[in-house]
Amino acid sequence: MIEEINSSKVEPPNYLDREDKLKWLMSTYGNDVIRVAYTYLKQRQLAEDVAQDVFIKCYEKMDDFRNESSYKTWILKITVNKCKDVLKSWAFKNLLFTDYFGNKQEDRTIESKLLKKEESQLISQQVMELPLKLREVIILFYYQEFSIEEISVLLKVNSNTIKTRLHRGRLKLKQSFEGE
Amino acid sequence: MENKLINLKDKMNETVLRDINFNAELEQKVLSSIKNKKSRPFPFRNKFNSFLSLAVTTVFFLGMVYFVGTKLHLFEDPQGNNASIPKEKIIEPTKNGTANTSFEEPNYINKNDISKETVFSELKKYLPKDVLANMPNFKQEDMDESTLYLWSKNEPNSDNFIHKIEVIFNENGFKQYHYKNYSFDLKENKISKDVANKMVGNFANSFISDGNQLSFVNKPAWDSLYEKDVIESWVAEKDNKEYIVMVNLTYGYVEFFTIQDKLN
Repeated sequence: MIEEINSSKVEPPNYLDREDKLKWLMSTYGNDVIRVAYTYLKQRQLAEDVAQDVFIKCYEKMDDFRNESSYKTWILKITVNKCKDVLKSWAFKNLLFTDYFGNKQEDRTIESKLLKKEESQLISQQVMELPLKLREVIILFYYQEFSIEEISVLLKVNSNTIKTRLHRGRLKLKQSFEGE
Repeated sequence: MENKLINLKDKMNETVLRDINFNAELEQKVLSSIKNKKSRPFPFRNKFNSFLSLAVTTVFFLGMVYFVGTKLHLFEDPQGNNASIPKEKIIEPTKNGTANTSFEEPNYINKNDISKETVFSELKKYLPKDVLANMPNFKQEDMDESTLYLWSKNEPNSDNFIHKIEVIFNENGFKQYHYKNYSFDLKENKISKDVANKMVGNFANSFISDGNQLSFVNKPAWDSLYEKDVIESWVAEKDNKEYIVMVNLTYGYVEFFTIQDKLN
């Protein structure tokens, strides 16, 4: 059902030059990029940095874009790769360690909100708590509304693996809800 | 669970992602960054790096070409003369067939007028450079009627030879000749095979009575001395005899001569 939804076919008008095309991409996909980045990195500053890098790269590689995928898939693929580079970097691991107490304080804030039993906050928080491999497929499928095939291309992972991860992700979320 | 995930976008945007936006400030930062990249002049450092890279590549390439060229003798002319050797070191025959000033016409001598002076005056044309000027404690010895040894030693009564010239005569002149170097520092004087061929002819004219009737051919002979392109041999045949002349092409002298019965 959701797989039929394809909102990713939006493209910038052809008459735009490179810079205007970039502006169009930023206004259309800017929030998607930075929010996906945030779901990976869980840090606003890093998400902003990644988003900027993504659009700079888009500008540089604009002429190489062959319309083999949608602009949205292309941009989010760059975003995912950038985020994974950051997650692998020594600097990120070090930053994660030093930010440990800060995250806990945020968690406590979220925990207090959870006490209000607001479903939106609860599900959002539980998604963010998922392990990365499960979280990314949940975000791309339910949040970005990509099809399994699109996610498979975007992550370069077999579609059956995507399905398995989606299943495991849902299962884990269910267990988390039941534990609340 | 599936139902709870429906509209996840709205749910997350209202909660955890509520403050996460790609705002105008970020957009401006991206545009500024791109403009800065565009307007930045091509840095000298990059130019220098490119130049350095090109220079190293060029030097390496030329080095490889030179190395391969020398190994494959590509820099030599078709006659086999080595282009890397200065011309003045190569003794070339003149156009009329006679040798240049350092390569004089032969004068025939025989055992009857043998003396240190006569042999030396003629042999010097076929000896290495400066040999005769470096003959301390020179001694000439007639071993018997047909054999002449000329030698030089560091000390008169020692066996410490510097060099030795051994000559055996027969009724027609030289039967055998050998210049042996023990400790003399030879000066390089490379000659081509053409020059060596001329030298062989002159040597035969000088020291063999019927030498002018011999026709020498450059081919391997006398294995104990022969070394291709370093010590080459010339062979002539007459009356069932083989005349062999060995020429050292590196130092430009006749090293050995002998007459032997032709092997059938």
